Amino acid sequence: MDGLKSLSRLSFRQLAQQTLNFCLIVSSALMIWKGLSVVTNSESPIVVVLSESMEPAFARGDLLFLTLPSAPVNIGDICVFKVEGKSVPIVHRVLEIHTSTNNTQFMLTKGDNNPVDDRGLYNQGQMWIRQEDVVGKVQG
Amino acid sequence: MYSLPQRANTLFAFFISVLFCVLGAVALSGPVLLLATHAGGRDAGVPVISVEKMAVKLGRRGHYYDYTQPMTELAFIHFNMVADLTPYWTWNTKQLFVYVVAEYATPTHPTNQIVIYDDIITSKDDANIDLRNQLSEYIASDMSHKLAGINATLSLHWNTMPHVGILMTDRKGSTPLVFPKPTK
Repeated sequence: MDGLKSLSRLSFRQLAQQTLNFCLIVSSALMIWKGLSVVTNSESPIVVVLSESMEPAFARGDLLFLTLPSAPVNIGDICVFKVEGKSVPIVHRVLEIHTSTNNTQFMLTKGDNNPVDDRGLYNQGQMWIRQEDVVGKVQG
Repeated sequence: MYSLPQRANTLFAFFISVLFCVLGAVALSGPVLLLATHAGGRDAGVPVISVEKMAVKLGRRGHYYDYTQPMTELAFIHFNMVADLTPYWTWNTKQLFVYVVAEYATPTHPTNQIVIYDDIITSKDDANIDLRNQLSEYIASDMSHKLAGINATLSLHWNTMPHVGILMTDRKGSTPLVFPKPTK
């Protein structure tokens, strides 16, 4: 309430300046985020780990820095991918890669801490993840 | 003018800047120490991988009891490996993720890479690897469902995961193998 009272004491000019200042902070934060997206070519350059499937490499709540390189994925890379029709991205290591003659990559992934590969997480009958499904590659 | 919260704020801001500088230096130390190892000629030798025995059997992949998947040739590989990765262990190493990769080419897919064994090493003492008659952890199979007669190579890859900093991957060694005919 005190804050509101002091706000009402301000002149219109001061009020406008406060508002503009606030907008500037919000927009610069958004610009940094979007700028990072452009540089890393990834729709979300920083992600939070949600599960313990990659222990002891990543614990819950760890922040990961991602890029989406145009180069093909390498074996053993930790990729973030989305299974078609499911919204939650998954951070797991690439276990198998089969590259066809037209450079399409078929990948199988597995969490370091999981006993089996990810076919149980994919859609029913889906055997491979394609390069289009990959959202980013973990850099550190 | 100089109230207690103000002083605390200044102190905290300084602490945060120092923390980030230290973290930056730690992050840099990983690649720098690795370069020093390469430059100082302290590299580990080529890992010795040899295939003890191999069997190819027929089975299905995918979900359990998913009989829509075709019968696939599955390879079970017993192998030996002696490798010393201790030179690559630095104080900024959280873990080494070590994996053995089988690589081969088929007419439809020029490059195929399959991880057959992996291990997470969390201390320098464990970085000296000596495996005898180790069964592959993951069953190798091809998208064409055929493996017999394919020439492949086994190599050791490792992924250095630092406490702070970027991930680094390296590989060494190449041991040839030929997948045998399927048996019951």
